Amino acid sequence: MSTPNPGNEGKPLFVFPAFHNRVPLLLAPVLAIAPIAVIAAVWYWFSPWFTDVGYQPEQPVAYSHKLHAGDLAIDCRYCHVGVEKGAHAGVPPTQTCMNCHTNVKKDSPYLLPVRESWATGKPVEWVRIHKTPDYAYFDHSIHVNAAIGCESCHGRIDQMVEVWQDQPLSMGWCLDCHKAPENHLRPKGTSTVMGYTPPGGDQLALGEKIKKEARINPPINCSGCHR
Amino acid sequence: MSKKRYWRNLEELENTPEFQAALAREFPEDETAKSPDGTSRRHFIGLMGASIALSGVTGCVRRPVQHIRPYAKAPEDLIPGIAQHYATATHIAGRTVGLVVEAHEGRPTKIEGNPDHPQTFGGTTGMHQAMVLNLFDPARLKQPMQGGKGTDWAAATAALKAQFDTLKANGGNGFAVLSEALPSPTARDLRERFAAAYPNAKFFTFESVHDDNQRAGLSAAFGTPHVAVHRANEARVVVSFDSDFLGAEGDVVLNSNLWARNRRLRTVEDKMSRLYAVEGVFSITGTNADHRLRVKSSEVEGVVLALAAEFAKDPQLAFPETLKPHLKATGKAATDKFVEVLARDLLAQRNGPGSLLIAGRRQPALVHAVVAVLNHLLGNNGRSVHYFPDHRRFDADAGDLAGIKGLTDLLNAGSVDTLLVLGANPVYSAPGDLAFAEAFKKAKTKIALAEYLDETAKLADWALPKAHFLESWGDVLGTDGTLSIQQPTIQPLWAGKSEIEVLALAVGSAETEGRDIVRAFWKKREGAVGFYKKWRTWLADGFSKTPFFGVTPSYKAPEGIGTLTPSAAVGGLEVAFVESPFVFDGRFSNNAWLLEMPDPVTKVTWDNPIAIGAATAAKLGLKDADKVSLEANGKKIEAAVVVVAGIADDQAVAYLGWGRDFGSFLPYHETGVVGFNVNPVRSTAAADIAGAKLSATGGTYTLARTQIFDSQAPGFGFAARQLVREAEYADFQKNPKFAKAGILEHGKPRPKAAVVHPPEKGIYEELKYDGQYQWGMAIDLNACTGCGTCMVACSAENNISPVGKDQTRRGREMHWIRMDRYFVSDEGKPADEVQVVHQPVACQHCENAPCENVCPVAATTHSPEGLNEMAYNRCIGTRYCANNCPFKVRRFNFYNFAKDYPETLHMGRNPNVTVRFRGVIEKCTYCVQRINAGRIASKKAATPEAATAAINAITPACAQACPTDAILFGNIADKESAVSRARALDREYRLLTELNVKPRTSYLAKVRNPNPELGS
Repeated sequence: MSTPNPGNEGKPLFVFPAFHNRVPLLLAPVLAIAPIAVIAAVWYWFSPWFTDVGYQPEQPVAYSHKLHAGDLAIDCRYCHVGVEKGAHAGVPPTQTCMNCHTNVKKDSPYLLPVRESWATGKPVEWVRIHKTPDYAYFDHSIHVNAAIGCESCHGRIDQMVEVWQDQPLSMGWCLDCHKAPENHLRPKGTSTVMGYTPPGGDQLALGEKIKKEARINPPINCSGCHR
Repeated sequence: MSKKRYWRNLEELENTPEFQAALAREFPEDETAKSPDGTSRRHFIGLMGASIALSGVTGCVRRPVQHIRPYAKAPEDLIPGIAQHYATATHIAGRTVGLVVEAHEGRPTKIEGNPDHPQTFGGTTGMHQAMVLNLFDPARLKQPMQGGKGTDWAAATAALKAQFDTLKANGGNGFAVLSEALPSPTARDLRERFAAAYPNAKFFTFESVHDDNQRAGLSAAFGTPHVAVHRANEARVVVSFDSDFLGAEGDVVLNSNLWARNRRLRTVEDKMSRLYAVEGVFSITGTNADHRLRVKSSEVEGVVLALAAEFAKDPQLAFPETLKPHLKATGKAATDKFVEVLARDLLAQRNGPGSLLIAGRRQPALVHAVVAVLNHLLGNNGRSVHYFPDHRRFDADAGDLAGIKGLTDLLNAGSVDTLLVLGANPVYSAPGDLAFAEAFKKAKTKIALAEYLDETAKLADWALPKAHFLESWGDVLGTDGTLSIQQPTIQPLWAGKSEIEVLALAVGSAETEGRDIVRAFWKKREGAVGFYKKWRTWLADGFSKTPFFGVTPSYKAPEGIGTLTPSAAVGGLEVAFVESPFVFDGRFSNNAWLLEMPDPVTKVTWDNPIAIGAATAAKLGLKDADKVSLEANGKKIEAAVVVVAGIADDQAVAYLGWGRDFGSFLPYHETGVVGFNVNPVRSTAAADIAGAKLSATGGTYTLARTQIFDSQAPGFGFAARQLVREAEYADFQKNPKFAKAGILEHGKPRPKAAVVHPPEKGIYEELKYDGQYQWGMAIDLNACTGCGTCMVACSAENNISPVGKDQTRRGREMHWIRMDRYFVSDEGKPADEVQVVHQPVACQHCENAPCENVCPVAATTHSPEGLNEMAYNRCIGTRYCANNCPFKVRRFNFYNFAKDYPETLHMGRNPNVTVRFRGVIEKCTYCVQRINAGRIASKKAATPEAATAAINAITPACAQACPTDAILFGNIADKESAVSRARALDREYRLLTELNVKPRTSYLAKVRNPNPELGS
């Protein structure tokens, strides 16, 4: 014969207090919101919009893009020579720095790592900011030749003392532009202009026109970038 | 008329119970077996659980810091990310191929043929394609070793200099040098200076895959040593006497390219050449022959003499008297009929389109002399055959075998104090009767320049690291005298030095660096005026446009055969020693890409079992994969056999170059010893063909073969599918569009078995292909020789991992292209009477791709330009696509093959292709990285013409490497492109069109050209 309270025969059974009846009612709104909250949280905090944008590591040399590209208005391509020709824009060799800095500010303590690199032949170890995954094969040259502004991906470099990542560089972000390049197309030769304003301020009209004339047709299939 | 059967291995032909059982199994081996590193499945799951738990922790870290390290001082003209291309050249046993090397930031990653090279036309062989792997091989000798202890070049140079100075002082007494074939004018000059510096020294050349017979035969015919250079495009009838001129022997690239030019039928008006092969082994040439006379290697001589006897009957021919006493028919009815018909066919070409006879390397000198005489009588001399001075070795040398024998005798006599070995590995490759290892030890000072710490270098007092050809300067002559410059693309990784540099050290040359030595020689030869400009042009082109010999090849008539006499008959079973088309004489036997190549006929990988025909196996009572002992020349080795159709009766075939121990660097290979060393049973007297005895020693050996277990079930087998389609030339002319329907057999279309197929209509809406370009490929089965070069080129370009013998055995090979080999035989004829069709099959890029529909994560999709794409990072490894692929071309990464590689091998990877990881599917992409590069170049082009040119220049690695240009690739939306024109040909067909998959790869059906007099 089984007993209702095995081991504690004769004692009253444990009964949940009455307020427990309200728990499901109280939990209902929480349970309803929780999945949405989790999805929203992951959507934002796990995305490159949060994880990557604004990444601004300290560099071994206190190089100011604002000074060089902004105030002195040196063209991007003076240093980033590969940008029109190859996949990588390229970080300039120490030699490029020394072109000027053998004469300009040649004793500045900020430039010590550069002079050391020049003397020893060891590279300056810049910290990488912009990075696409290894399986994404981004090619700078075709974007610059199709006259996308540097600014579209890198932001107002001419205003950054220390460079940070301005855009998420995520696949969705890439595809936004590949599906609607007219939002970023410019006349040929104006890629490196910072703060470019289209004539009449109508980017869409200009973009549509260029897209048609230059037959810009960016790939949105996998092998466009992955291989 | 008898019906033809298409089959892939003998079990299938006989439909044995074992074969039936194998068909029913999904996997060839037990899937639950342990992984190569010994992890069981249970252990693996445990590990995975732990890593998933731990990955939650690491996920909190924002992002690892990466550094960008630019050059301090950038090299001129180098922009990171843009590949550089250098023209260069190299030789394998004295056969030169012009190359272009792709380098990324100073690291050579891909070797391609130089399309402008006048002797090789941009073609290569698998060995050339794989040489980049040798460069980065971590097993290479990394520093000079003295008596087994590492030292450096400074110490080595000082010690060697002292040694050389002593030797110079006594005129080189007791000094001997053993070199490989070196077709280098600079080396020749150093050799002459060497003779002046050491007048009493001895200089020998040794190649295990020797050309002694041709050298002796042509010496008898012409008075001086010559090398025969063939131009098969000048011949309507080509006869190979035991010569694998399309596979491994001689100028393979030149021969294949020119031969294919007369096989590429565009219209019915096009004439086609006919290839006869007389051989005992089953070579690549034999598989391509229209008629193949299966006789033992030793009997080929008799066939040649019988053929000469037929010629002697023609009173119009000035037949040399010295030859006449040896002429006689073979006395075998079938052979004599063949010879008679062959003679008629040859004589019919005499004053017409021309013919070409080629004598094989293994055949005795007499055969070479007689063939030279016959070629002359047929008017081929100066047309399809040219004779040049033999520049691969030095004139005073007696020959390879005489050389190594001479050296061994000197060593045994104790008259060698100092022995310098330049690149050769005689301890491994010398014939067994010499017992070279013992003799070698008798030299007081042994110096070996070697790429590896190989058998010879291990015994040497000084082992010096030899520079790879991509690390060193040099110059190489083609057999026709084309001068190519060997330009390095990387500094020596392990401080290696080239043969030239070591010779210069011995000579005491003023120049010590390779470039200075080569340049100084040519400056002296060409004159200082304008030399710099000339040199720059040579480097840019890769070769000199002025042939080294001038334009005076020898057209003089052969004088006869001198004192040569026929060789004695070999009774019973005999063995032929054959160079492997992949590891050659052993110089590539640590190259995993080449070891993993399936043999073109047996389809065995990672091994060199002794091959015998079905009839011989039955006679000897041997079964496939039996362990055996091979006895020849009084020596015995242990080996295994593989039974394959098509080898002559009483003929065994032993591949050279295997059975070497590299101490197991190869990933997923257990012992480090791969295959069997057959050199011990060779002898100097019988190095190529020898009487032999094969006996079972009990037990079965494990062979890893491709193309066995993926056979299609009966009913869906060949009868229904007709994957290869072929016809005879005469029938092709009557019915040129035969291939659309299927095989043309005895002039009639072969009916396909009735298979109920769903209607040719997709259940999904068909994809629209609206891209500007539409990619397609066409493969000409008539030009394809089955050599496998495309497979190696694909591995090199696409970072494909070798997987090892054990994994290959389980059907897990990763090659994106597989080379299918079908045997064709007449019903009722012996299994050994076969013909072969080779068919390279890679992803067909179906427009209605069955793989795409079943992928649960859309990792494989279609591009608007018709590419079937694979996004590795999306793939979750369900393998549904591989199961649903009707062509079975998708490959799965069962392990992280790439990760376990030694560091140096990563340097040779193509940075433009993802290195795949465990658990993803991969397959042919049509080299999408090259397509994208071409499209980008086209978009950036300044003019529309330049844009079109950039698109037309897109060539996948397989098509670039193919020595016969059998693979065409391009934009099929452009009706003028080469691939579109090929697709418009009558012979075009596509595979499995009845499934409505709409492949983008077309095949051009094979047409054979049999002689009506011999029947087909």
